[in-house]
Amino acid sequence: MQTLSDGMNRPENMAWLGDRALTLYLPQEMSRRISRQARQIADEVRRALPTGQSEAIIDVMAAFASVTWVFDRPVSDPAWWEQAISELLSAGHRPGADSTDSTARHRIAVCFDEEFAPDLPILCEKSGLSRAGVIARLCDTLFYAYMVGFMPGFAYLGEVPEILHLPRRTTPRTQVPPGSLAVAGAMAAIYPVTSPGGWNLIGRTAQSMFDARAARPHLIAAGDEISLTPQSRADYELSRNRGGNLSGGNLSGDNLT
Amino acid sequence: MGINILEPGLSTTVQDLGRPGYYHIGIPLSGSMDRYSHHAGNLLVGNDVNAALLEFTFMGPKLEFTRDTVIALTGASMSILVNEVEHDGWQAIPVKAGDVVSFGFLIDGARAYLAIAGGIDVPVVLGSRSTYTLGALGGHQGRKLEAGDSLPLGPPQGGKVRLGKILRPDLRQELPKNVKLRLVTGLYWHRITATSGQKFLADHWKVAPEADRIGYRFRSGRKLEFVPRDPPFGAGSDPSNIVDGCYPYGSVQVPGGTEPIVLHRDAVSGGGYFMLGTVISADMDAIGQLQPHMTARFEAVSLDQALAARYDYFARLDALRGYLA
Repeated sequence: MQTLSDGMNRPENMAWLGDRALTLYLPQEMSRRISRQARQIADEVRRALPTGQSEAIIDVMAAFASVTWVFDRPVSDPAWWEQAISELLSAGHRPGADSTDSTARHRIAVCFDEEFAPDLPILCEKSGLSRAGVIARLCDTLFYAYMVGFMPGFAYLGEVPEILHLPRRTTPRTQVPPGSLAVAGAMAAIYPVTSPGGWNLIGRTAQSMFDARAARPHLIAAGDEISLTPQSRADYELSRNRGGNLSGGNLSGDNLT
Repeated sequence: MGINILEPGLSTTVQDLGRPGYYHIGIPLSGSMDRYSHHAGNLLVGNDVNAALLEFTFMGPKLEFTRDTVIALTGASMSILVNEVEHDGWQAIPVKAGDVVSFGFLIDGARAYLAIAGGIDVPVVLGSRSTYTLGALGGHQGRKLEAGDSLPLGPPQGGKVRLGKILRPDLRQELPKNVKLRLVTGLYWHRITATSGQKFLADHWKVAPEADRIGYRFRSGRKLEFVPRDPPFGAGSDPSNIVDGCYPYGSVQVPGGTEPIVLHRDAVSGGGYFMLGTVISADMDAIGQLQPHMTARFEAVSLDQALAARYDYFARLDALRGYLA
């Protein structure tokens, strides 16, 4: 039986998740620094691996504080991979904290109409702020996409100002409409597709978050920065009718870079 | 066209071998749950192994063919009827334009595969024809099939069609009622007590009705006992919460410590529950053939054993290719 302490000669911060995935664990905390490091390590390793080896990896995912590599065939020597990655990280490939992040910025218009924001009153009550106060706090925040995962195009956006922290709902909704802006604790997210969801719904955007037919199917990538701007119901309907899709011209207009 | 769906069955989708490469934007693997049966079906009708076919759960659809072709049924055990004439699975069967194909009752297993020469030619979305219903993408309009749908077939793919040759029993997928699922225990194994770990491996777990392409939930084993801890910043307060990470296919989650869920082809790509371990690749097909109320036990194996099993699995596919070559 294999556990962390089984005495195998493995770098302490790496673990195999079954026979197909290797995970590197960074300090388990939520911080921009760690999340940025995870993403840079994912990129570096992909670039630096010798050809003939890198092809075995079919998926790479950087999460909040970990990087996971998925292999499409049985690896003949798991220790080689642990060693290779560990050497890449120590041999000057470890991304410095000062390395710049080439990320996109998105400004996303959100309509806070009552119909779209069933949980906004709870947020007002908990924070003691008015509707306008809550909206202002959210729109003053420059969010950072820590990780994309869970659902197609679902980006974990942090941090929600502390005064607006609200736990997940005890009973998840069975159907959350796409475009819903939701908060839970320090995180905000925009639901890309109709799905069940336990986060608190406080607004909606007409901007599409995910379109499988688009050349780049997701609007937000991990590492991107996002700001929200309030939008009237009339403007929301207008954007909605224009499509708001990723393959259309809307993206460039809403994308600051 | 190629196929008209007269009756859709319970849950019938178009699947190929899947859509790897998109975990980082939240898109799971998708593709057939029982990959061995998928391979066998396509090889029998002379297709490339990645050709798209129909996967159906518990109950078959009723189909009308509008083109002459060759079909093969693999996976779960049920009979196949061409214009009411019964045939066995695991062999290539010719059909003509106008023929109606239906299926008998499920005898064993949970998912059957119908491969069709030429493959189902739905559009390729992000490199695959597989249906991912939760994300409403791939397959036929991103959803399970409904009566009245029509599916196009591709041109014959040039492989050898083995008419009249029925696959040797040892080359068919096994469909046991009780399975042992081999598990590589993970980074979080130490989070439960040693006795709790022993109980988890000793218990007989029953497949819950909530068992689908996203994941298989098991119940009726004993609740996990966690080692006390201070939750890391950003993780939920429940002892089964972690800082959100990636969930590879096969990950075993135990939300609240009560009911293990083995994540399968359409699972979410990441989240905040700890993973007790990962079911080895070689045993994932068997999960797709489990019916609710069947039982499974988990057996801890080493990474080397898991890799050896994966090699054996590939060797079995080679034997299948060799037999049908």
